[in-house]
Amino acid sequence: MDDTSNILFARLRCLRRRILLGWGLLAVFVICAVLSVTSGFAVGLVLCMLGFAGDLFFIMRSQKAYRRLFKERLVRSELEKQFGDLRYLPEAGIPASSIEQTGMMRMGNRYHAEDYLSGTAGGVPFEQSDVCIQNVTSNGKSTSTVTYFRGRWLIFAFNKRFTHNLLVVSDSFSYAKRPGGFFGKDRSERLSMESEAFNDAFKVYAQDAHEAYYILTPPLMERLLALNARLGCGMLFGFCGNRLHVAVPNGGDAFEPSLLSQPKPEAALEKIRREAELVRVIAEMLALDRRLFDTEGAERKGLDL
Amino acid sequence: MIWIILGAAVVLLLVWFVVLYNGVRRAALKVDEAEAGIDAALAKRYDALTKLLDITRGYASHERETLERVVELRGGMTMAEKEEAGARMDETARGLTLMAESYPELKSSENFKTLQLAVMDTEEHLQAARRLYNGNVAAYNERLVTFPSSLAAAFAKAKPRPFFRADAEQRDDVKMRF
Repeated sequence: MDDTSNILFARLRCLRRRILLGWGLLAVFVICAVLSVTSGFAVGLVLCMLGFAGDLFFIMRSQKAYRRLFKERLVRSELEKQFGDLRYLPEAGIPASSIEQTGMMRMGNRYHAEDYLSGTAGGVPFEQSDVCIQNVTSNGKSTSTVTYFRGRWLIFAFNKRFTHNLLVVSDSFSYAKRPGGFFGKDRSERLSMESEAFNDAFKVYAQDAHEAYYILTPPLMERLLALNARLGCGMLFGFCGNRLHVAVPNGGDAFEPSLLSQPKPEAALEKIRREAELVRVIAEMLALDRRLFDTEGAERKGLDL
Repeated sequence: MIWIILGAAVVLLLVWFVVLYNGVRRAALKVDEAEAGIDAALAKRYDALTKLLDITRGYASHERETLERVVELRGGMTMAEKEEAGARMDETARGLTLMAESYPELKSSENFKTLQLAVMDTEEHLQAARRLYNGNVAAYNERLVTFPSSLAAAFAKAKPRPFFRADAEQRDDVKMRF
C-alpha cells in the first residue's frame, strides 16, 4: 500500500478510537446520572445530562467525519479506478421522481437514497445509488414501518430504442406495482414468453407486446435468468424511457465503513471493489455494451430510416 | 319458482357462452393484429435493405435481383408468401455482408455500417413480430381445441391459423455465391 493510503488508514483508526471513547464516556454519564438520581444529587444529574448531550454531539460529529473521510478518499479513489467519467456524491442519491415516474414501484411515504454514482462501465453509461423506500403508518397507539425496498437501484442506458414501458419482476419482489388489470389506468398486459423457466422466474407486464418481444430476445431472457440466479435475490428489471432500471433488493448499504472492527486496508478495499463490481457485472452479463442500431445517430448522419 | 331458476340458469349459460365466443373472436383479432405487425416489420426491413443496396450500387447486382423478386410477392400475401419474402430478404442481407468483406472501402464506410446496423435492427423487429404472432396463434389454436371454448369456436366456424415458420434455407449454413 502507498504512503497516502497508510496515512488515510491511520487517520481512520484515530477517528474510530475517538468514537469508541465517546461511547465509553456516554456509558459513564448514564451510570453517573442513575447514581445521581438514586442519591438525590440533582446538580450531579444536570451535569451528567449536559455531559451526555455534549458527548453525543461529539460522537455524531466524529462518526460523520469518519464516514466522510472513508467515502471521499478511499471509496472515491477505488471507484475512479473502475469507472470512467465518474461522479460520486456520497450524500446524494437517485431522486424519488426518477423511480416514481417509471410506475414500477410502490413508493410509500418515506424515501432515502445515498451514495449516488454515475459514469461508464465498459462504455455503458449508468447511474446508481442505495435506495430505501418505506411506508410508515401510525394509528396513534403504535407505528408500523413496512420496507418496500432496500438495496441498490441502478439505471443503465439500454442499447435498443423503445417507446413503451416493460416490467420484468421476480415473484419474490413483493412491492413492485403490477400494472394493467381491469381497473388499472396503465394499459399494460401480462405476457407469457416462450421460455417456461423464464415464466416461472419472472412476471412480464408490457404496454406494447411487440416491443416486449423486441426487447426480451431469447438470449436476453437467458441472461436475465443467469443474473437473477447469480445475485440470489428476486430482482426487478424495468425498461422505461430507453433506459434499463435494475432493482437489487440486497438489503445492504454499499460503501459504508464498519465501526465495529479496526479498519483493515486490504479488507476495506476488497469490500469496496466487490460492491462497486455489481455495476460491471450487470452491464457485462446483460451485454449492454453490444453496439446496436441508434436511430438518433442515423438521423445525425442524414440517413432517413 | 322452478321456472325462475331455470330461466336464470339459461341466462347464465347464455352469458357464459357469449364470454367464450368473445374470447375466441378476441384471440382471432390478436392474431390479425400480430400479422399486421409482421407486414410492418417486413416493409421496414425491405426499406432498410433497399437503402443499403443503394449505397452498394455497382457492387451487389445479385443481391439487387434477389430483393427485387420480393417486390412481386408484396401485395395480398399469405403467411407462406411472407415467409418466403422474409427468407429472400435474409438472403440479401447475408449476401451484402459477405460481399462487403471483399471491398474494404465499402466495409469501412460509416453509412454502410449504420445501414447494416439498421438492417440488423429491422431483423430483430421482424423476429419480435414473428414471435408475437406465433404466441397469439398458439393461444388462438388452443382455444379451438380445448373444451369449453371449442364449442364457441365451432359455433363461430373458427379455423386454426398457421404459424410463421423459419424457412428451411435460413437454417442452412450460409452459402457463398461468388
